[in-house]
Amino acid sequence: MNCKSFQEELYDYLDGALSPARAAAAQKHLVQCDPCREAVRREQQLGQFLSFKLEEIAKTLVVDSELQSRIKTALDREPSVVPREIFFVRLWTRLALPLAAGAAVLAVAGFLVSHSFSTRSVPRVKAALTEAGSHQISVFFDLSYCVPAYTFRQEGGFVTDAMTCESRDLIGVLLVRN
Amino acid sequence: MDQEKLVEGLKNEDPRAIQELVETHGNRLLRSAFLLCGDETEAQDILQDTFVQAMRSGHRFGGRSSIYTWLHSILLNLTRHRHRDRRRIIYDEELACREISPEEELPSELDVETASAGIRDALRRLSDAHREVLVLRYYEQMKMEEMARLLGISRGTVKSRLHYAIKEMQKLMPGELNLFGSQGTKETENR
Repeated sequence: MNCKSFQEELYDYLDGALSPARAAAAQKHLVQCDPCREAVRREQQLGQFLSFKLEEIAKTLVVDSELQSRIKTALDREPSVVPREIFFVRLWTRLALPLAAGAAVLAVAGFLVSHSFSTRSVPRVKAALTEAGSHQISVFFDLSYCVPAYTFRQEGGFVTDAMTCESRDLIGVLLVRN
Repeated sequence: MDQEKLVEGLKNEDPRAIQELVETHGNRLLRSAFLLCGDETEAQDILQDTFVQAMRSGHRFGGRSSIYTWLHSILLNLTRHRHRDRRRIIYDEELACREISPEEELPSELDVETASAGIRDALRRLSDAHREVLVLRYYEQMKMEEMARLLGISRGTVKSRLHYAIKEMQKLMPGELNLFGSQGTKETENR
């Protein structure tokens, strides 16, 4: 780091906002550079002086009872500022999870009831007679079924939900002997 | 009331929360407004408007900054709006051929008896942009990053404004501020 780059980063150095590597480089530069050390000292003193003076200018100002009362009156005069949509967003935020849970239960129940009467869920059985002479029957079965899944998550004031159905197959062989 | 309850109260327009904010941050905000606008009465008006605005937009407070920083950003915006309006009024008056001296364009008199007259006058003579960075840096003790975020400008612009604001102050207060010398080293000045 040279004087120019140090000067450019002087405020960041004073703020402690330099990266560890830059801070180390700045520190190393300061050890060997009198003018930059002087610049740091000057900025710190200037900062202290201005802070002190600004505090001094303003220190007598206080929020007295009269001003407090003015502010209170102004606030009281303000109509309720919660807009209608904000009210509904808040209401929705509170009710969203219970409603979503209820909807989930209803959806899953409805799904299961409807599918229990569906022909799609009846196992498709394929049977074949093999080795007829040995009286052994192999029954091949291919069972297709759906696994319903209902998911919901809250993102800020909104709830997003999704109903998915994962299709699964169960295939097997059943051997029957006489 | 802890911070969390205060934020909740603010969002629900709870008058007790606003009242607590007035008690906790009122003095500091009033002083900051005074330094930014240069007039005690106007600073009181700005403070009042700041709390009214805070109540109006409390539901939008996201908690990404402290409540004080949030209130201060409202205050700074209100101060800027007032100054913009005032400039517009002066401009309208100029159109009506009224001659305005530079002295009259400055904010009205500061009337805090115990204040340091030199720095008060110097502050009044600074441009709004220069006054803002000085107050934020040396009264609010903000870091460059915070100032850039609050003012909506780059860190480079903040540094540049601060540099010129200090130069200006040194011209306006040669006796006191030049004790600290000019900004930068001789080497950097010669480049």
